[in-house]
Amino acid sequence: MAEATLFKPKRESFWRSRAWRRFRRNPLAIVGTLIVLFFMLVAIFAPALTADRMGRNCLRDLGVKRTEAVKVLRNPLSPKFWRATLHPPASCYKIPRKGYSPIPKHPSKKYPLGLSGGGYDILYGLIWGARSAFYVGILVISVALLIGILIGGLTGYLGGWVDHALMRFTDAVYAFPGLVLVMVAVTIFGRSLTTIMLAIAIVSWPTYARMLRGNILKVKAQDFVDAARALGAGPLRIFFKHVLPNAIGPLIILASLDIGSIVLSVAALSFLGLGPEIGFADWGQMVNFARNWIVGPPGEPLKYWYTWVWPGLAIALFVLGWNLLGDAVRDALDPRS
Amino acid sequence: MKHGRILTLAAALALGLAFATPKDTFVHMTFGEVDTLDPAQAYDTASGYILENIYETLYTYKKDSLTEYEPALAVSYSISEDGKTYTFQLRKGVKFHSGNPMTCRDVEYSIERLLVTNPGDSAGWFYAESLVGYDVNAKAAAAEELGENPDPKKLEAFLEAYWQKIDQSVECDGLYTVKFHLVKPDPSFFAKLMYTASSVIDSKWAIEHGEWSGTKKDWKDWIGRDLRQGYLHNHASGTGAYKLVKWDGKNVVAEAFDGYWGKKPAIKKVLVQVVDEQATRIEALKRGDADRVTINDRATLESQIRGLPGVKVWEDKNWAPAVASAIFFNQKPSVQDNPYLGSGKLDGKGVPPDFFQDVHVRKAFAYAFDQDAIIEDLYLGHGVKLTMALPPSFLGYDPNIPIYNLDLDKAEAHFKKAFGGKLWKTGFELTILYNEGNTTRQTIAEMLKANIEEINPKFKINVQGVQWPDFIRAVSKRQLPVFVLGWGADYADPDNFVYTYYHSRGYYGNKIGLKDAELDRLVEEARSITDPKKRAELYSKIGHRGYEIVPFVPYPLPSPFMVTRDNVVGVYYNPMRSGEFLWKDIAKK
Amino acid sequence: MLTYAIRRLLQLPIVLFVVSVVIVGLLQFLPPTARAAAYVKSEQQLAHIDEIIKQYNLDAPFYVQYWTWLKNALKGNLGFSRVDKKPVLESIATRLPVSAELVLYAFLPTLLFSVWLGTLAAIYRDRFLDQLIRVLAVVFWSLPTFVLGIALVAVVYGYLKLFGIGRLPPDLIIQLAQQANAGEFRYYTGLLTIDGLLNGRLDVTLAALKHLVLPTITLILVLGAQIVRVMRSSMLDELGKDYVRTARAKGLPEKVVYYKHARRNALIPVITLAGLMFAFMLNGVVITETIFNLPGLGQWAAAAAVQLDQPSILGFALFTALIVALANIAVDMLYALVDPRIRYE
Repeated sequence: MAEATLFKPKRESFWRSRAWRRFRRNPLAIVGTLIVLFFMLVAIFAPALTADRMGRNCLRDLGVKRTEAVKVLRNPLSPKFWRATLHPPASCYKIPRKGYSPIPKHPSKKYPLGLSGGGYDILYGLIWGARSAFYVGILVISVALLIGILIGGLTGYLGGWVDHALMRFTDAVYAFPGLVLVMVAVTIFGRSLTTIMLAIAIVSWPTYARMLRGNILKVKAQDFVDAARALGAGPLRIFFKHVLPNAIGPLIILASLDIGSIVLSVAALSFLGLGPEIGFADWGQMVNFARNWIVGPPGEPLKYWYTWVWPGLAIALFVLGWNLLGDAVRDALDPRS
Repeated sequence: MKHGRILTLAAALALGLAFATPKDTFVHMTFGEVDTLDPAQAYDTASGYILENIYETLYTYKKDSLTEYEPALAVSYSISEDGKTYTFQLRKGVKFHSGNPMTCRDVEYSIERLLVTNPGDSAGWFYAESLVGYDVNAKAAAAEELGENPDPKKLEAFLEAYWQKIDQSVECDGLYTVKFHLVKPDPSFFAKLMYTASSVIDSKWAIEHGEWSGTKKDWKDWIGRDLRQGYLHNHASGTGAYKLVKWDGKNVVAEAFDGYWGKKPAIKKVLVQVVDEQATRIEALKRGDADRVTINDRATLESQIRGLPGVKVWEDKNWAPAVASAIFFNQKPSVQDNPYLGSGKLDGKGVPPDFFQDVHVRKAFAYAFDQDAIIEDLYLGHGVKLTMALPPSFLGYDPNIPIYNLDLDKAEAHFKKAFGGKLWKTGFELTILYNEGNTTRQTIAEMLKANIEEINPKFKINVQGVQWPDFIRAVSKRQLPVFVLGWGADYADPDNFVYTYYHSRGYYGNKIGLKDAELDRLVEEARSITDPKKRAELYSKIGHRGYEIVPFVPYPLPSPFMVTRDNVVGVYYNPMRSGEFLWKDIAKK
Repeated sequence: MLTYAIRRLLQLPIVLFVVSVVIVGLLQFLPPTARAAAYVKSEQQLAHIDEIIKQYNLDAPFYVQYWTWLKNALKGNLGFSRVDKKPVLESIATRLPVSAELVLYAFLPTLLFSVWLGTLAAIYRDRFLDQLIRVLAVVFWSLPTFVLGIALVAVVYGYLKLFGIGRLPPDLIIQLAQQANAGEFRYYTGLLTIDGLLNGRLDVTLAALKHLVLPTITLILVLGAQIVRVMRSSMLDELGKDYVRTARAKGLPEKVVYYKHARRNALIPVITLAGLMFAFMLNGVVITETIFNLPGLGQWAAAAAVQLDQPSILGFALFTALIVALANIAVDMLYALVDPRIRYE
């Protein structure tokens, strides 16, 4: 069958598209973008930013001596800088402690955001927490998307009883009390970050599968698919060249905007005692440290405000940024306004 | 306008400006839920707390003393020459909450029931070992002796013999005399009888409600039974000053018993409420909704409770908990599938299984541990160092035994001598585990890590927090090269600790592969004689030997404290009491 | 449509079966010593862990353990809750009313509140009100529930001395315990506000309500924040539709357009959300119940998961799966009612 040459309309340049213009004009969109960008930069440059306050084990695993840490880790010409930035050892995610006192210490010159209960450096935790927020968020969404696309794609493509069976399976997982599964999985397989991420991903994929299936059905019903079929294109080709790309696009965009909320699930787990190990740089865990310090001594109820305000603010801003971005992207892509 | 004011008043009343609880009511908010209210099954502090107020034992501690006892359900006692027979004269005219009178039959029933059921997770073991000769129940003992699939005749014979032992261990001589027959002399037996497991239960009432008949007829059905499914699990008829009104989930309600044989208590109604969130408990204390709250740690006490109006902190530097905790060095870790030994060789990437068999390694670790920092940083100055694995208030504790204090130079010296100097060159790597949520143990582990790694960069220590299930699995399988654990007293006799820690077959001694002939000999001698002075000498020798060979390092205990509203009087501290003091001894001004 | 409903209902047991197999299966990954953790609470008990394993049959193979569980479950015995020290069914029966009461009083206000705010945000799209609402929604959503909860406890209960924690004040707890024993107070439903009325005890109802205020507010704020956003976006979708343009073109006043037409249709996804809200509420409920000391299902779930209380986890998972599945079916039915375009064979 000869390949039909369709008259392809010229693709509108992204930068001149209506969507981008609508996006650009939305002040909240700009704010959202800036916030996310800010956190991204903090996350990427975490090692450089915290070079002066790194823990002993992190330095040891990087092979950097404490005296030269600041010079080396802030120097983009040094290979150690790249090692630290691109693939830091796990020990760098552990917040260094100054002493072991369970009572928080007020901000000082050396520790500008103070020390949390247990002597944890809040500034370090905040910065590396940004990194772990992205790391966890991206990984979880990726895995959830992978599974969701696989299953959603299968049902959308095959239809019939496969669709039925897989959808029922998706419903079963969806109906599963997600928090319980995550809690059980974490208690069994340990509080490693990997377990937590996998468990949350396994609970999240049904939403994406359903979304993809819905999108596929919508796209399938559209005219250009009929046109392609009329022109003799085979079902596989139709699916992979026409249907899937159009169905997946919005899904990936919207899914990626869920990254912000993963942080909240991990925070909830920390509260229950099931989060990552204590001392790991995670905002949710840092707020949990502060649990006993939210109310201070008689007469000075907000004495230890810095233990929960800073990580709480980080979480709120992070989620806010992704949300504003998400809403703005949705609005921009919406053909109907 | 008038409507407005009335509305406001009504609203105010509805919103309820709270007034503190009434004078005859005591409200205690704590964490830690009751496990069971069956005395034969309970083995935790939360349950013991309730049991010690609604049930009674033959003798009991006198207020806050661990060494002075007062008659409770028994008025006098005597011990035979050979130390194997204990005779008690019971108090007459004592009534149970049901109205039934207490006689010897009830005592006999209570103890026999304990021996018959002896569930695996109960305190029955330390009664059974003295009265029957086995520390496990009949079925478990049969499995141990006869194997998994025994000849049915042999099993029958074994069970029959076991029953005979139970039957003969407690005897009634008339209504008010009870005799205990031990299999061998046990100087701690009297102390054991003060634990809630030997509380006297209303046998008539229990049998009426479906509990064990008290006879040989149905005893086999009750062997090793999980008593949490029985009637006594959440119903009680004891002789205590308080009777159980209701236990549902997080609340235990009790009221004063009119027919109590002793002095009528000032507090008539008690509510013990489990409130998991500490912040909430503290607010309730401030509001006066709680008369006593349990505070998790010293840090919270010092930063949030001190100075609160209307609140009193009870403490005394002479108080010490009946607990001993230590950092253990495992001399015989299991080798199969053990993830905590690294390479398993002396190559700098792990530790060989005989790592801690070298006394220099143990001493080096001991000198690397900063006892003072624990007291200063963790306990904010309120703590006491232990010279041996025994609470300071117990018989036999010797405060003059030296303690390993932080001395990094000595630590280095010992490391250099270890394994003939080889360790210093190759280095090592090992993992220290602690159970998640236990900040004390986590801090100890991290402290050791920080200090030891400083000595030699080839020394690597990984500190890992694991969930309680994983932790107990690792300990139980003897996988951990180093671990931090403690032991709380079951009864006020030093043997409870000393055997556990220092004897090769004691729970901890066994887990760390400790086998020192001298220690074994001393411990066995001390647990077979009754003369307290001689025993104290022996225990002192044990402590010194412990210092010499350092199989573990005891770490400091936090100084205990209690927090109540300031109108509560009569509070005292008894470390053997799960609730520190009894409700019947306090009042509210 | 009836056949559809019946068919869906018949598929329920399959869902429950899968759920139970998964959970029992997961727990088999643990060796007996670790599963014994639910039964070991102290170092003393650690000393006798082998007896504990034998006692509870923890070393039998998977299918044996599952089969034992299934046999009992079909007889109505879901096992014994180690966390609660009572049979699982009893646990659910006692805890359900507590959570139900909380959810009951939080559900409607949350729905109404969020529908109202979401609509407002859509109507004043991109103007200040919209942006304010959206930012606040995100802030409340991202605030870890326990921070909000603890802050409320400290400020409102502790400082302002209003309301109460737990379900009832201590003196009423004691009084009711004594009266329940004597048969003078009967728990007909388990919901204190209703039982108070049924027993003619207005003071109990008022006290219970007083104690529900803070946890309800926490739930409303945290959940409402999520629903506001959904309502807004669905309302915006509706407002972009053709029939709205037509209505406007016809000259209908804005108010009529919004409230009479758009909003009704925008409610469809909200129905989904409302149906699933019982499941959603689980997350918030777990933490809320812990802080405010309410002995409900959420608190039970958290304790059971951490302590690896197998019977409790199973019972809880099954129960929730059942509720969510039922809610799903109800929601699908509602859709068919509301949207004439949807038809089921």
